[in-house]
Amino acid sequence: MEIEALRLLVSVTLVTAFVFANATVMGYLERKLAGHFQRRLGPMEVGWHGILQMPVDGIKLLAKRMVVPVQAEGLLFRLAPVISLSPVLLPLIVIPFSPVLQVVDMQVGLIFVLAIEAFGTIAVFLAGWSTNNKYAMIGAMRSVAQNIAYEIPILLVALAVALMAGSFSLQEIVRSQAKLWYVVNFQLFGFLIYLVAGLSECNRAPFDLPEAESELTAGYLTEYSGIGFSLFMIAEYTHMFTICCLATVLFLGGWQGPELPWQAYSSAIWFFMKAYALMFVMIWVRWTFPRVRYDQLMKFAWKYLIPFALVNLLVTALVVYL
Amino acid sequence: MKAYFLDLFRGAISLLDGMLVTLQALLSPTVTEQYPRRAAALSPRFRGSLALAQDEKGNLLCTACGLCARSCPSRCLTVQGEKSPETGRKMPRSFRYDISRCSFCGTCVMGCPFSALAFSPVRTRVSTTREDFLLELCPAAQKPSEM
Repeated sequence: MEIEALRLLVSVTLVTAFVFANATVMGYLERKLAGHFQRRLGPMEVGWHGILQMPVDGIKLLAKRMVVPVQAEGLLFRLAPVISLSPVLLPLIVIPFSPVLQVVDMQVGLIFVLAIEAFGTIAVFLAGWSTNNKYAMIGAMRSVAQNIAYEIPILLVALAVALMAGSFSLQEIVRSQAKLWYVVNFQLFGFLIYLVAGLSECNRAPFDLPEAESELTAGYLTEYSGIGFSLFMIAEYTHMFTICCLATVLFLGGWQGPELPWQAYSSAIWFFMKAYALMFVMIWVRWTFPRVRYDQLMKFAWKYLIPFALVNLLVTALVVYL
Repeated sequence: MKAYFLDLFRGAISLLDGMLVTLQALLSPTVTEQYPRRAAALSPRFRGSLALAQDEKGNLLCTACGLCARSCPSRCLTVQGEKSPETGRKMPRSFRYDISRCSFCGTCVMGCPFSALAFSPVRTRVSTTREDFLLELCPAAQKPSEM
């Protein structure tokens, strides 16, 4: 019992540390790749090829004062960044990085991840509402509408995968892909739908309407500064990571890959390679496409993604049944 | 119904097309320079501040005829000449150039009948005092600080 509690404590600490490390690496990668996608150099000044840019920026943000506007609802305004971090951190507890590198193997892991991730919207809405500013409010409302629309295709696609695996446990889903990954085994459309909806789910371009700079200054982030802002940024990158982790688990075979020595631990390498490849695609998409219009966003979810996800689920159910 | 699927198909193709374009940009070399440390090469037609041209012996080609000063739309040139005792030729005694008023239009350079005036490849000129932008181009009249 005590050992179990200690194990939980250590692993949750590790997960939290990983969240911050991931945000640092992703922030640097994003800026560097953004530069090179535009044939610029990106950060070059701090450290070799600007490699220390993110820690320096982080220290700067930590040292800065967090300004709370007079008209804002003080308590909720301060609470929102903290709330934004927890729903993106919790899913990492059930994600199987390798056969043994997993904090808890829940029987309902998939449902847990999807349910917790939906909480992220509450933080965004709280931030927008408590700021008491029209840009923030509009951004928050957009975020809620968008997340409701795009949550449905994700759920439907995840359900189709769960049907094929016959389990909601993420570890079981990975094990069932030992021979063939689901992305080539009948779920290619599901994967594409998941990728698009996942982009929208973490408010990334081209679906970054809640923080559309050109129309809403920075949406729900408008009045945030210092540590509040950095917590939201860390939450965004972690959200990206959890979305990519889930995609890896559901469609790309999780930690499955060529055998390595100490398979039980070292197969996490395959997992991270797949997840970060998906992150690269997300960055690539961001620096390629312009932001969609609001009606296009809604039309795309309700007229394309949801019907396709439904058909995908039906056909999968039929195939599994036969 | 046909339009619905055609729309989706065409959209997907155009999205992939766009991704290919940015991928090519990612893989091609960068075009920017780390400016203060490295600068891009100047174009041969770059217009920096004016400079007086010299012949092989280092004599100024300028004859202080004043055509440049008269043609300048911003009136930023003031030329004073005198007859040189050695060559017996008219030479500029002072050639004052107010770079803060110059718009680098090139009328003076084009109008000079002796090609004695040219743009120099000086990229930046920074100072905190206005007087530093009043240049003396004639070497004979230059104070040591006006190089």
